[in-house]
Amino acid sequence: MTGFDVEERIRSALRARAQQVTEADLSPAPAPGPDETHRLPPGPRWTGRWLPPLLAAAAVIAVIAGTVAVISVVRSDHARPAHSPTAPAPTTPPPAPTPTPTASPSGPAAPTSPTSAANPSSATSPPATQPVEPGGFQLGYQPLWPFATLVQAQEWQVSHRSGGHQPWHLDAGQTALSFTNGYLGFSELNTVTTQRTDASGAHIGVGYHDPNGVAHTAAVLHLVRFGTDTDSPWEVVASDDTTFTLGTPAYGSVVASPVTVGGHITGVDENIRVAVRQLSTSTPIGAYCCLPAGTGPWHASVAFQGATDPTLTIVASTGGHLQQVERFAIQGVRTR
Amino acid sequence: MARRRSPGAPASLADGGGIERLYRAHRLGMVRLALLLVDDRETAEDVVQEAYAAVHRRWDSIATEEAALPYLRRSVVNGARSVLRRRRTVRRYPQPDESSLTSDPPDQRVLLTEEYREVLAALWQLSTRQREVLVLRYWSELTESEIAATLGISIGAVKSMAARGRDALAIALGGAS
Repeated sequence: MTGFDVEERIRSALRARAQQVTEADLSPAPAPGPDETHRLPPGPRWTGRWLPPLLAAAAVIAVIAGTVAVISVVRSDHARPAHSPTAPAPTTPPPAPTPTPTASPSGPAAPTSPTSAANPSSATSPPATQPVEPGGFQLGYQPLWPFATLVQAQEWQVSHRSGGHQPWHLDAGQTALSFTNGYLGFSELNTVTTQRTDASGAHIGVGYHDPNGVAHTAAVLHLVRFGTDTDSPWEVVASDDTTFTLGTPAYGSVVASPVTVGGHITGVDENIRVAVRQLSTSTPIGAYCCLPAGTGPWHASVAFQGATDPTLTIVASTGGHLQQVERFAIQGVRTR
Repeated sequence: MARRRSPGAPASLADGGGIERLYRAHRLGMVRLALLLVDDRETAEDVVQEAYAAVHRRWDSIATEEAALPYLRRSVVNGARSVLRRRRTVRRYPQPDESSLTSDPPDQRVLLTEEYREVLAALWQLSTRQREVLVLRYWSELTESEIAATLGISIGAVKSMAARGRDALAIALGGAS
C-alpha cells in the first residue's frame, strides 16, 4: 500500500463519518449571545470537577518538563556551534559528505563522506530500510542528510572521538549550510540567518545577503541529534515551512513515480522547480521545471527513477530576482 | 461616532453579528470535526457549543473573524480532548469503534461501509494526539503549520506524529507502509 493509498483511505473514511451529520441533524441552538455566559459556566462543564486532579497532573508534568528542559539546555550548551547566530557562517562551507552535487562545479570542494572516512567498506552498503535503529533508538523523523542510519552516525562518532574528524557534524548551523549548498547544490545560500534550539531540535535559517547586506532566509531547516549521546551528530530531517510550503506528499509517506508534489506559496512570481534526491546518488533522480508561481496552492507531477534508498528528499525551490534560489522547502518521503 | 471599516479590512467580531456569522458558517463543520474526535454526535454538539461560548467570552480580544476561526477550532479540539480524558478517567473508556458509546442511530453506523469502519477503528487505536493530527490534516485539510498552531505543538512534532500515525494505520489496515 502506498502512502497515497493510506492518505486517501483516511480522507475518505473521515469524510464519510463526518457527513453522517447534516445541518438537519443538529439540535436547534442559538449562537452564543449576551446571555451565554450566564447560561454556560465560564469553562467546560467538567473542568470544575476535574480541576484539582488536573492541576496536580499539571504540576507533575511541569516538574518533568523542567527536568527535560534542563537536560536539553545542558546538551545544547555542550554542543553549541562555534559561530553565534549573529556571526555569519564560514564563507567556505565545510565539506559536505557525499554525494557532491555535480550541478555546481564551482561550489564547495568535493567532500569526503563521513561514512567512508570512518569505514570505507560501508560506503556502498545499502542504507537501512527502516528509520528504526538498533538499541531502541528511534529518530522519529526521516533521516535526510548526512547520515542514512544510526550506524553511520555512530561510525562518524567513533572517528571523531579518536581523530577529531569532521567536527562540523556537531554544529547544526554548519550542517544545515552543508546540506543546502553541498547536497542540494544551492551554492549561493551560504549564510546562517537564524538559529534556534528547542526540545524538538535545532531550527536553522539558511539564506543569503542581498547587495545591501541585508540577510534573507531561504528556508528554516529542522535538525535533530542522530543518537542520544552528547556528541551525536546533527541530522537534517525537515524544513519549517511558512510562506512557501511543500506539504504534498505528506511527510514520511511512501511514494512512487510519478509523485504529485504541492503546497502553498505567497508573494512570489518566479517559477517553482522541484527535484527529488537520495543520499546515495550525487544528482537528482527526478526533476521538474518550471511551474509558474503566484500566491496560492501549487502542484506539479514529478517523475523519478533509480530510487534505491529508503528515504528521498523532495526539494521545491523558487527564485530569480536576487538569487537563483531565494526560497526553498523540503519534504522527507520514503520509497518503502 | 460610528466606526467604518476600510474596504479591505477583515470583518471585525465587534462590528455586530460577527459571532452569528461565525456560528452560521462554521457550526456544522465544527460539529463534524468534534464528531471525528469524540465519536459521539451529542457530545460533539456540546463541545462545539462551549467552544462558541469561549469565543464569545473572548469577544473583545479576538480582533477578526479570521482570527476567531483558529481560536474556535482550537477550543473544539481542546474540548474534545477533555471529553476523552474524562471518559478514560471515569470509566476506563474503551475504544469507541464499537457502537456502545455513540448516540448515532444504528442505521447511520450501518451506512458506513466496512472499508470506512475499518479505517475509523484503526484511527481509534492511535494516540489522541496522532488522531488529532490526522483528523486536522485529512478532514480539516489544514497545513502543518496550522495544525501546529491548533494543537500548540511544533511543526516537527506534527510531521512526526502524522508519519507515525499513517504508518500505524498502514500496518493496521494490512499493508506495509
